[in-house]
Amino acid sequence: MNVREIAKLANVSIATVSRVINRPEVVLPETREQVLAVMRKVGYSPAPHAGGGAQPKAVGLLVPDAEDYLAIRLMAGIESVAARREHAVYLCSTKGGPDRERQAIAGALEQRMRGLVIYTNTLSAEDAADLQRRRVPFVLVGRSEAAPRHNACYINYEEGGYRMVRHLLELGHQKFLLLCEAGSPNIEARMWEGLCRARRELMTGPGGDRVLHAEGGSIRAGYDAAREVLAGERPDAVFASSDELALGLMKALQENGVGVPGQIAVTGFTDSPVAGVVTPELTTVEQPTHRLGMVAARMLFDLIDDESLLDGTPQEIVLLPKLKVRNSCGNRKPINTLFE
Amino acid sequence: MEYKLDFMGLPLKNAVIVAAGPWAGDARSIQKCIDAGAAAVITETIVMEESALFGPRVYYENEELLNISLYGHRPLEEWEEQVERIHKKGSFLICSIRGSSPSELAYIARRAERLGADALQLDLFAPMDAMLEEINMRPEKLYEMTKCVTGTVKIPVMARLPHNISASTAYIRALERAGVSAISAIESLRGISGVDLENRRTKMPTYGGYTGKHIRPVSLAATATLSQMTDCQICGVGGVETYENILEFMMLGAATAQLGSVIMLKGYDVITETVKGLAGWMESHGCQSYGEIIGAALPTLSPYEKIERMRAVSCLTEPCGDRDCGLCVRGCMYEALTFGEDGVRCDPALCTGCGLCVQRCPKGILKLKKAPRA
Repeated sequence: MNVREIAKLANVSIATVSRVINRPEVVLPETREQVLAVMRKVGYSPAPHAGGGAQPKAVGLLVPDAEDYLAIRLMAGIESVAARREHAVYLCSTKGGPDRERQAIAGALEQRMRGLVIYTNTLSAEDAADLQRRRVPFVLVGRSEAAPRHNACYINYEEGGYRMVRHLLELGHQKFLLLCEAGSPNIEARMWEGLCRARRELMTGPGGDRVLHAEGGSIRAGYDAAREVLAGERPDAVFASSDELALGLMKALQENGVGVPGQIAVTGFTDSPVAGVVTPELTTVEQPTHRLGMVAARMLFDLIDDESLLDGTPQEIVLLPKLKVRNSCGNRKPINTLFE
Repeated sequence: MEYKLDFMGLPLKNAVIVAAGPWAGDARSIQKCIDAGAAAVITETIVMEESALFGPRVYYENEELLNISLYGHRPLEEWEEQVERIHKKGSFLICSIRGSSPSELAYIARRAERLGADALQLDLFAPMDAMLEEINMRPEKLYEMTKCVTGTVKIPVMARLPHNISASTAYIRALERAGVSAISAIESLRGISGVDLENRRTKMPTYGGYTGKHIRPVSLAATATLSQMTDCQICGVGGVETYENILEFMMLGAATAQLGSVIMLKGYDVITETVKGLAGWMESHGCQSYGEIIGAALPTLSPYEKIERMRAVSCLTEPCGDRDCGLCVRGCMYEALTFGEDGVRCDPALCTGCGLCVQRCPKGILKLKKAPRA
């Protein structure tokens, strides 16, 4: 007998059963009694979690880089849901790479977390399968090799790339340069696919677009990329894979007397807090990372509440990014800063 | 006498449904709707990431409401706790949900089903949001979103459409293929409150959803159009304020109708008045069931090409010398109505029979009559 069956018998939701067990005071007395009566009748008592003793009310979040703005937003989203469940969220940075990731996972399990959210593009299928075998509730964020076979959520970057390029084409830009952090083939490939789809749909044909790799994802890396952007044939628009890269590049272009967006348009892919305060305001693709955190946390608590889901069909939730049109793309219409 | 009806497989005790909105935003307000007699209540829209409240967000002028905030201020987890506190008393709870992608929407749908929803309303066309731009252009996007929901929950699903899309065969077929049980129409209209001329700025900072009695002709048309295009049940929404309005929607083919912003203007009592008024009218007209009136007025609705081409002219049934009024004379674009020495005159040779003067005359002394053959 598990909570799912109890919920069915008592004609309430699984969440209600879970609240009757964990926070009985917030449940209506008659509902609580109804659930408790079913539990008594079937002789159900909530199973202590594996390992015995009290398990802390905590879940772990593993991210590649804790300094990353998106990781912080993800954390905030997870916390907003976890707080309602009175769970703490512990952050652990893996600094990328499967070995560090494996270590971090092992560390989190030693702390006896009730579940893990793993933000990764690198997790291997074996490592994920190992977690599955150990019956650890976990949710993957991002599109790693393991993602298709487990509960996972991610943002559709292809759609983001498509929307941005379509917008830039509609503004009359012809030649594009994708400025991507070196060693992030995932986002680069998706942005490129989006670019190609936009070109196909607007029937503009190939425009001699190219990809430039920045040495890292920082503002400095964007700044340093300016030299190469300005060497050779100049693009009409540079679409960077993050706001940091775009902001650094914009600064360097302006220092070199290149007008943004007049001579080269620059756009980002984050919607960081500074995007709206720099001059010109940065047009970017908003990544709903806070919402993604809420999604991941909800998927995780679903697994924690109902262990039978660990054997169920893996769920995948995809969120769509949104175009945030400001001015660095060459847009001059005020209302576009509000709506697509 | 109680006039029950089957709506999406739910045995409703009457045809009055409360629309999604702040008047159904938590257990307390939903309970008020139920206690006031609503057969079903639609929750304020439930979303993955709630938006913060800000003020002012409602613009009011002339019994018109314009709301600039997207509904959805309560986290999913809080909705679960709220719904537990509701005593349904034979009424039904319909959860309004919105999401940006099929998988996100389907997740919210599952959670809504789990928290105790009896049915769902998909609210994908909020006029303040550009999140779902794509589905405004591509029926197959609406199909994908809807199918993902109908494929994942067991409860019936209703989709709410904006006025333009509720007249589009491609979209209606997409919803039918996706297996919805009902279609509600219309979504509020995208509007701007007006411009403050002295300060040269809009009265509210962004677009809003325009509702109230002034949009009723648009929603009546949507109901009439839908009822001829689909076998899905129809739920009229938009400008419904009285039981007479509900009867209008029903006679044009709706099975039920939703009271919305009128609750904000008149309070929850309007629900009780509407429920009573509806039953009273049915009884006093000897009706046994709603089946007798649903679609009853549709046969009188003709396509433009088929309307009877009666030639008519306006005429005065008694003399009128009221020069201060002049509504008829000023309003006649054909110069048929003029002031003569003996008062208002109508020249049947010039009158084209549009009927405006007849309806505007405060004394009711103008009538239309069949024109003699030329």
